[in-house]
Amino acid sequence: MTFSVSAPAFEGPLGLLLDLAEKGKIELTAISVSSITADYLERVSVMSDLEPDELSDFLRLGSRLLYIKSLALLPREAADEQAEELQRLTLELAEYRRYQQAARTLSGRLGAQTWNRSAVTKLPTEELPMPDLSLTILQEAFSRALKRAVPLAGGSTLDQELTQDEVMGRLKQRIETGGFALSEVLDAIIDRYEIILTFMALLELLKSGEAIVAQTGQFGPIMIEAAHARA
Amino acid sequence: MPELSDRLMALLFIAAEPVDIASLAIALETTAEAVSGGLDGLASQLEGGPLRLSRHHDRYCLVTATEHSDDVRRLLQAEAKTELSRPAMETLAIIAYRGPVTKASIDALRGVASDTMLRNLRQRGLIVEQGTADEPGRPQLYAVSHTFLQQVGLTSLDQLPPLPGPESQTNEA
Repeated sequence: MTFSVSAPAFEGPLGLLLDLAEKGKIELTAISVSSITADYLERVSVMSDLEPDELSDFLRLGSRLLYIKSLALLPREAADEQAEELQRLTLELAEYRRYQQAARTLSGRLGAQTWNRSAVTKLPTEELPMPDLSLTILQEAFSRALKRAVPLAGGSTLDQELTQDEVMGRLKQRIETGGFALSEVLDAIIDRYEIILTFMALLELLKSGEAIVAQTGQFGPIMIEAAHARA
Repeated sequence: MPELSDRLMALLFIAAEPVDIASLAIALETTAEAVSGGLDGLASQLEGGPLRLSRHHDRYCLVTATEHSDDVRRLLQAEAKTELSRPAMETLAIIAYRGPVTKASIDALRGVASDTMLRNLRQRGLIVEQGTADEPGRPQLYAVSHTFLQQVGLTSLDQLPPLPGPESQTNEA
């Protein structure tokens, strides 16, 4: 999520380029692009911890810089194109910079906040450990789902034996991608065995503290979320 | 009968979550226009006091003024919020000023994919999904939440500090 570069974490390729330009106190012109390109590529080359996706964003800007630089070597017709490309990049950079500055202003405002009454009402549900009541609700939800589910046809064989690890893996993935409503998962399952496995896996996740159960209102949907999402 | 602005204040004091004008009009057995006018009156009446009227997406609530921020925090024993990373803050700024905005527009402005940032900000309740854009594929639109406004101590989006002008040059700093 954050880049571990030796320098401060950059917002991305534009952030890096802007930083280089500001440090060198240079304006982006045809001449400065050639010098800044080398700096830029050098910095990118030491970013070893980048995810391929992130790296590709950095490389894309790198190739744009190289392209602009290369246009300078070509005969005169390329001059217009170079000016155009350069102008486009400069505009993007200027636009990006506006939001970068706005972000700093907003950062400075964090802390002096306003509060409304929901701050008082929200606190207990978020800060307290899961009350026993939630477990009961959870159990009831599963009982309902079990009743609805098709019982295993007498001793029939499943095409594919489902393991608890598989179910657990699935749940973890859903939790990591933003959590889910319990009913959503249960409604999708029609097999009793799978419902039981899901219930067991969920209890495991709650026990290990990876997941938490939340309910917004008294009869609201039961939500399963990643514990760290609430941190 | 008490003044409309006082009646509104009583309702907003009770409401735990921001309320829309229609609900206030029903409770006060009056028209939306009257409520709207009453809210304007209430907002100016509150100026200078410890409370403010906060408005976001046409929902209203009473909030404490920012100078009481620390007092309230101590009373609630709430921890100061963890700081957001620079990339997250930047994404948030774009959504605040440009919102409702698509992920594609955010990515284009930042020159980098913003999926992780968006997920992070959503989990913190700072942004919300707000409909879809009227363009091919109907992409999701993102907007800042009421929580965001409160975190930065604003009572409406109109109060955002003006965006720095586009004319500022890169070598000015």
